[in-house]
Amino acid sequence: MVMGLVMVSQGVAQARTTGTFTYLRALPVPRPLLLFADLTVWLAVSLPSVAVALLVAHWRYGFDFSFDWPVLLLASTLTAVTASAVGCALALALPPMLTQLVTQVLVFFVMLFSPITFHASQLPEWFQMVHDVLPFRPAADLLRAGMLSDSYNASAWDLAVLGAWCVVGFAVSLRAVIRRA
Amino acid sequence: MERAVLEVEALTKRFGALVANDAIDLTVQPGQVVGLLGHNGAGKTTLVSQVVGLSKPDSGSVRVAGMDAIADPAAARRCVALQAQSQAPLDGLTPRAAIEIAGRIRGMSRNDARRAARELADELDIGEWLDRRAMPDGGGLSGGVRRLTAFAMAAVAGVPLIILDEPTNDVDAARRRLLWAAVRRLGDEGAGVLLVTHNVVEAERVVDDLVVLDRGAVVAAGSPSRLRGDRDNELRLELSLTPEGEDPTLPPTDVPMPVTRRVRVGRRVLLTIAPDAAESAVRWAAALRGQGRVEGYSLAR
Repeated sequence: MVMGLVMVSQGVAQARTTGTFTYLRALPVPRPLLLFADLTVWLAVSLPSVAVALLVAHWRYGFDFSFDWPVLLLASTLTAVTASAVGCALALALPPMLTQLVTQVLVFFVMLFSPITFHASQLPEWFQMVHDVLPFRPAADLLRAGMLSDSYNASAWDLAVLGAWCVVGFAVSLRAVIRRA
Repeated sequence: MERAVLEVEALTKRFGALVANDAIDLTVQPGQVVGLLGHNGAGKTTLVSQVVGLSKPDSGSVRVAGMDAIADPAAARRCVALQAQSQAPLDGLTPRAAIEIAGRIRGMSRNDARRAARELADELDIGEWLDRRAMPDGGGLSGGVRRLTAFAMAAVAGVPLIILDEPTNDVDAARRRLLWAAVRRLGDEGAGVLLVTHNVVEAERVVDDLVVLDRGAVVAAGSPSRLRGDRDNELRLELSLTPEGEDPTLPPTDVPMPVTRRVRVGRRVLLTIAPDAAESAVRWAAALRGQGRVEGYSLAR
């Protein structure tokens, strides 16, 4: 999430300020392809982090996993793609300076105020409801369901929420890439 | 007659109250190099971004190689190669890789792209940097080499229309000459070239036609000699003064021929004279040089 929301959006914001974005859009390449190429690269950058996190958890903290491979693969890919697409959309929809600011705020929100590293029950009820429609908790729970399938179950709602954010991120990014001023 | 590679008709683009392009008409034929001149903010880059589909005009039409660039910008873009005014994104790439990728994107085979990159590097004399990597911090390659690489990226594949936006920025004098020669070659080989530049004097030698923009509107168009009008036949005598010496063209002066215009810039004096005064002008200037009153002189058309 941090990778997608912060690194992708700052990368895209920088591409906008330096003129790279404009340059690429002037190439004889279908513009949606530019978006897919960019997201593929970010996917390749962020996916290994899931594997690394699993290994570290196992060696350092002695976690024992009960993998549900289809769920784990789907959850990690969807999480990485959603984060990148939303990050990209942010950077394309906002002025570059504002993008920097928003992403910094998002880092804190994701790391400290999202039930990823702590249980959702520790948050006030209204805030839990907010997290039901934001992508962070659903992504975390889906990943947990993939790693520890004996104690967590994947919920269709979480998948739907994450999928919806993915579609919105894509739609906004696509529009920004194709649009002519 | 062959179909024009770029036809711009009555193109108008507004940003709020500002009219950036005001009913612009412009045509580039195959094999023609057209210079687009104008002051900062005259609307040159705005015009270019509409041709490649980065922005959309308020009214008017743009046809690239016969295709409607407003209705189908993607198809039009396949026929245009653009060297943008900003530096091309080369970070992490070598010029060789960048030029080859640009060729490959336009459908060249690996071997063709490799050969074309090599040839362009030789033509622009950037061979020694061909395998040096451009660093994101601006190191690795100088601004001029980056600019020449961007030019090569636009010129590598044969496309009907090539648009060059200030291609000579940051480029040294010797390589600017090579660049101009390459621009002329692109035209002679049949491409239409739209050349956006401030560098009027140098561009004049390679362009077939000039279009001058002023505050978004075309104020003059035609061949360079036609735009210069009847002054075309006049000669320019340039004198380089000595550092401490007096200016021999100031009164009381012994200039033997009528001078229509006199301009002094630093230690250089430029006199505009009639063509039949060439002989006396040269004799006079040579005498001044012999007496050590000027360091040198030249006569040009």
